[in-house]
Amino acid sequence: MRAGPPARTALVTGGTSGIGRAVVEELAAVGMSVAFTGRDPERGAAVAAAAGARFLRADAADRRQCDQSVADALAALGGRLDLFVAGAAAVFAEPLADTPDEVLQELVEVNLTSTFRYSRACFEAMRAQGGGSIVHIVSDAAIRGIHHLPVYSLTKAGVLALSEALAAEGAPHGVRVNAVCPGAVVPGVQSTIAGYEHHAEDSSKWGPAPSGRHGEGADIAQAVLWLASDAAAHVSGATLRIDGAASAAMRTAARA
Amino acid sequence: MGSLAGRRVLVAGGTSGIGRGIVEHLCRAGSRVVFTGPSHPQGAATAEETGAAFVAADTAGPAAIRASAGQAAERLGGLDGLVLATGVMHEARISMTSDDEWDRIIDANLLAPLRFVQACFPLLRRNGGAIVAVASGAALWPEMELGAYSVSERALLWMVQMTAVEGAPHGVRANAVCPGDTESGMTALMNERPGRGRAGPRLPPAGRPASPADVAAAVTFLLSDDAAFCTGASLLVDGGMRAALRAHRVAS
Repeated sequence: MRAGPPARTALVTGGTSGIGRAVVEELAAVGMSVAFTGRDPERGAAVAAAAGARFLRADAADRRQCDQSVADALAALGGRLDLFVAGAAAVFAEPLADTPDEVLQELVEVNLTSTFRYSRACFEAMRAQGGGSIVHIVSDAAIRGIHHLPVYSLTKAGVLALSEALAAEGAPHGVRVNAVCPGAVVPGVQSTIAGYEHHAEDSSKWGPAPSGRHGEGADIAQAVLWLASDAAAHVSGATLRIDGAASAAMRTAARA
Repeated sequence: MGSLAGRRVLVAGGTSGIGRGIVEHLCRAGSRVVFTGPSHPQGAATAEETGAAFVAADTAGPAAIRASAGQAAERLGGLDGLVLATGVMHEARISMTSDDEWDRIIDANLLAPLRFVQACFPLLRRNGGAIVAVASGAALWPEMELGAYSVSERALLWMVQMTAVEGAPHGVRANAVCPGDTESGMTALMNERPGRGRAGPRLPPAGRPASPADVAAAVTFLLSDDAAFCTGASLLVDGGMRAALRAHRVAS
């Protein structure tokens, strides 16, 4: 089956870097009207100019800014939201036992609670308009936790459950909800907690997937595009691993 | 069964439901038990009936949790086991869950257990110890009507697994039990809702809901030395409810 016409309007959170940025660029490249959020106005402006998308400054840790960005996105997109992509996330690489409470709270807020709140708001808009598609950028960490990223892993596990539960809820309303689980994508999640910038993920140090390479933003963006298209009309509640088989089995070796 | 006699166990959230069943079970097995809960006559009553010691504690924030964990360890002269049973049930779809409800669920079901683990980890590490979390079948297979609850329980399960990996080199084990519908527990309330009348109470293939004793027995096993090599495990205690699609049946 051909992918068919993509959805027309989209909101992407965390679109100023990494996978979120690749998604913004891809959606805009196929002709969608795209609004995206992020913390950094300079990066936001650069992505907006390069991709031809609308930047809305919003910190995922700030509930008021998040709510405002949804309202602004709907206004910028002519009141219709066909696709919501939840990409905002932060990493933190300390053992669970040593994670300071304020860091714990911020990670839960950014990775899990903001995803819930954005999803709830976008779900409402989609239900009112008679349908839509939500894609959560999750992680292999939600398939199996990643040892050096414990709090990141448990928040991503929560997002996957959120995606599944919301899919069940949305199906009668024509709202499809799916999750993609990237493995190690180069360069890796750069967004961290303020003061812990050295925790930014350097995926290259983990070696390539069994497929022989690391993931790229474009791998994920293509999957998002397909999930948003009519070709995926009966796909909801799905978890799509995009990791070159990295999480498929234990002790796999990269191709020499 | 590997003896739990004399083991010093903190049960976080032991005044009612499954937590209370666990306190009773451990006391009968000869463990020395301190349990926490909100200050309530129920706590005193459970203490009276079981011989366990009650520490009235709220779970709002890390300081309160550190204090109650410290108090428990002081009373027991150390700690060998930690049972996490602070969870709250909330019946609401994701889209119908308010910010306040979400925050309350995440706090009780995820952050409070995590903070108890952080507070108790140094104590458990001394002699090797065991952590058992009371999660939920909804952690493995979400329920639409328990949206935020399912999310919180999935995250709790991952917390247990990450703790298992971190704790193993220190001799600290961490496991989870995943009950399905439990009588007199949180899910019993759901079946009493007016809307449930049409469908009737749902039952697992085993034909009855779990009793708190069923769950307590699984917790006791995972705390004991019989489970010495079990860590990072999730043990369903649900009468087969989540063993397959369409496994549940409706009571006539």
